Amino acid sequence: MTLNGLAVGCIYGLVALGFVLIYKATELVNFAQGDLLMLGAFVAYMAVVWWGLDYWVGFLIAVVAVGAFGALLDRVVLRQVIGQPQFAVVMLTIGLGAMFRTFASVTWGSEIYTLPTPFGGVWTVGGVTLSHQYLSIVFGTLVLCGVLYAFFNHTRIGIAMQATSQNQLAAYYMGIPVKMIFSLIWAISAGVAAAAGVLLAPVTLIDINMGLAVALKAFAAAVLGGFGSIPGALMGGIVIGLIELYAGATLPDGFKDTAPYIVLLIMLIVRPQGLFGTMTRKKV
Amino acid sequence: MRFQFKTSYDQDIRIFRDKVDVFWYGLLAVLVLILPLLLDDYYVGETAWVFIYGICGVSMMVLVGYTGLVSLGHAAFLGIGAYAHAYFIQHGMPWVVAMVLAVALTTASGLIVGLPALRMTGIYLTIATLAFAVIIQEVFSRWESVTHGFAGMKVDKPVIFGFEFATDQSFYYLCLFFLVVVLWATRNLLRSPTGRAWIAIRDSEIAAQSMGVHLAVYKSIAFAYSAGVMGLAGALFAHKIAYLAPDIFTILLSIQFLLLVIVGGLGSLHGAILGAIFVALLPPVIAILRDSIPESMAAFAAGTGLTFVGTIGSAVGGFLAKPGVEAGIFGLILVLVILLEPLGMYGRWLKIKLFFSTFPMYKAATFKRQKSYMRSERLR
Amino acid sequence: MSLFSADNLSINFGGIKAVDGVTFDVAKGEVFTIIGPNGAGKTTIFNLMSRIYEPSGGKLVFDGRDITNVAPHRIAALGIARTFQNLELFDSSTVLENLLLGRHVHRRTNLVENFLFLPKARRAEIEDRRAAEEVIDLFGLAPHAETPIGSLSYGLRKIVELARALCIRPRLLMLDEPSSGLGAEETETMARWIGDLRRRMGLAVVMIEHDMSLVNAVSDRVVALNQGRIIAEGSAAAVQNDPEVIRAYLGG
Repeated sequence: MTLNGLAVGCIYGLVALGFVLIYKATELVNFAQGDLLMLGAFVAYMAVVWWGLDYWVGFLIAVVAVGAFGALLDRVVLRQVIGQPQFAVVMLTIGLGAMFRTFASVTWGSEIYTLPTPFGGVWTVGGVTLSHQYLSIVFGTLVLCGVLYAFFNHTRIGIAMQATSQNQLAAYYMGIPVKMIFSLIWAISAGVAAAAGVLLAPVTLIDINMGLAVALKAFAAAVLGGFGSIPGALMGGIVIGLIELYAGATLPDGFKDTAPYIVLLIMLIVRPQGLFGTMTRKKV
Repeated sequence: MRFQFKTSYDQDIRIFRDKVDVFWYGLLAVLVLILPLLLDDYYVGETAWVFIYGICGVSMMVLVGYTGLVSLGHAAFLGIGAYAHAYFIQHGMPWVVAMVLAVALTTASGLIVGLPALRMTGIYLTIATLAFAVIIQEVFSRWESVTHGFAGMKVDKPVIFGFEFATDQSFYYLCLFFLVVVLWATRNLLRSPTGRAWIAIRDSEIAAQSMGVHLAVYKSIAFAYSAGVMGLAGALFAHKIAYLAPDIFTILLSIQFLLLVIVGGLGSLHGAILGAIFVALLPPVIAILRDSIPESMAAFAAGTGLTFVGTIGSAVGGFLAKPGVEAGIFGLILVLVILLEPLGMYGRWLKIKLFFSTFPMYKAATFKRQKSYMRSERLR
Repeated sequence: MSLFSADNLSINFGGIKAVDGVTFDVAKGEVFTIIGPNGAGKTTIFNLMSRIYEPSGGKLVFDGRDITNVAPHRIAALGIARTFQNLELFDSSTVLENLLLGRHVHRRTNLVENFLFLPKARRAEIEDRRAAEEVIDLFGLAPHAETPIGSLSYGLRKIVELARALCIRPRLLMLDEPSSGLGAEETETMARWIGDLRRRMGLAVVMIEHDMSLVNAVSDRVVALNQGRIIAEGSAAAVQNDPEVIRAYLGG
């Protein structure tokens, strides 16, 4: 059972990672992250069920398509609002999210869909059954994180991204194409969200509102992790996933869905800088 | 251009600056008062929604537009006000007492949320209010002895001092009365040190503090007042909707409230009202378009023989009829307003007014904002 | 007797001693200037004085009273006002509204009186406006009283910020780089204001400044700061010729 919590936590962690990537680079908080996840799941569904493609091909199409869409969003919409108050941008992404949901319901319909996966079986290890579905999520998360880690630390572009996150102006002076980097960061977080969506699809099923709840909990995860730290976001996601699971199993009805938020509220009140973060303050 | 000659300090403080203002607002008042005599019951009912949303808009404007604290949880306050009012009435309290208690309760809950929220800034505060709203919504659905959960809770027509506000017309005037009271009281706060302290906090916390503004106190006042006004709106909302269920008070409603103040124009009470007109009337307008576009275009197609017009018409109608389209249209409008007119409808109106009053000399630069690419809220 | 004194004031940011054992005092009616290269800790001292930062050591005394633990919003009411290096005006408000905020510490109405706008609130508002008007006249801002800050020139904004600080009726005025961003003529005007304020109102002024012509024109006493420590103190000329100060500026 812990595996289930861990797996769902991994999804929260992946979405939270998307939040953190964008926030670190551009100081924007992207409320449409959950809806990108939903789009990813739908694209994979379309590829696998409508076009009859292989699961892995569908996975790849979803990640690439939604990633490209993320870069497009940055170029066309979000670049217009750089320098506007943070909350205007937040509202903008909320508006975009609402549009994505409508787009999905018009394109794919507002029913609930199942994505067929190759992970049907279970393993029994020492009397404990481990379903392949949940294992695939945990494993997928590990692979994604490994790839991202290697990308950020061992490629030129990845290091340029790190530099841009720390100081845009200095990075710009060093000849880093800051605007392109921003688009790329959007592409990566959108792609990660899409991957999370495809991984999550067999567990929660696909519908147009699947992103909303996940995004809120991922947000809790990001805050828990300090909102500036990528390992923090993943850890936060796993913590939230486990809390949710155990609250659902041990506490009265209604706590399963609210426990993450209660933890989030307590966290914000007691330690607003998160478990791993540092507090920042405006300079005068 | 119309000049206002200042002859006394008192003139600055008045709600209406001069006789021209008094004339136009007087005209508006007369229009609003006779409106129910001119309109169908259906439209009178829809206009009452405008007033209720107007009260919600004032609540949001105080917190978001004037104090600069962004809440994504105000649907919870509306819900608390609505459920409390309905509960107290069901338990035999007079209407006025139930109303006062409901407002007091929401004010208190605003204070309880506001106090810890003082430690947070910006996006964290927004998230905290969001989390609060999710929890409160769960409470609405689980606390069945009070709210009846998903079975719902019926709310009767208001009966005040023996008079039953049974018709759409009488309820219209009741809502109008409360909207005017709320506007008046809010205007009073805004033209006094309290309101100036709010605006100061919004524009620069650090300067406000060094001018002697106690941040925590004034933020709490803003939170409590905003929640209280929302509670009042909730009580009217309960009567209007007649049937309370937990899934009314969702995040989407909170988002709609934020949309209201942004579309209307942040930082002005006019904006709150304009935004309310927009938010309250958009769904019925969409509904009307959904039916009338296919019909009229089909009629046009039949008349002219251009069949593709009829096809487009039914396609548009079909699109508007799909579930979830309304939310998408709201989203689209939100995106367009933020991209194209960040000052909202009231800002657009000011520009139009300035354009005509300064006619050949209009400078677009008057409203140009300085763009800063490096603005950071982090300490580097 | 000194009006304000800082005793052995220190603060650390993550192990770096931004201000390290700084001691100084300011007498009534004195213009006291802090100079030093960028990053010397000048603005940090201001932020410590207005209690935005929590000192890690030392003591602040104003008018014979220990203010080391006073809440930041109480500082203005005690009679200490400040301006900011990069302007912290309320940009969407008019000049008059900005100045009225300076009257916040003198407000006499409570929330209920404001809410119902009782006659007392109206009288208080008129009184506040009269007081703000005096400051507006003093600085010749009358033509701009109803102008939003956003459409004023930078030089005017600097003056508005100074005027807003004066609405508090302070006894100690802290000016953070009053000449930054101003042209030569505007700087001269600023120098005249500062001299005027001291003479006419007997204000004590603590000023951070880079422009040596302004420093020479108005300062009674100057200290030079480097890496959080005072390295020289005395008259403007003496400090500028101090070998250690020269070395600090040249980055030796």
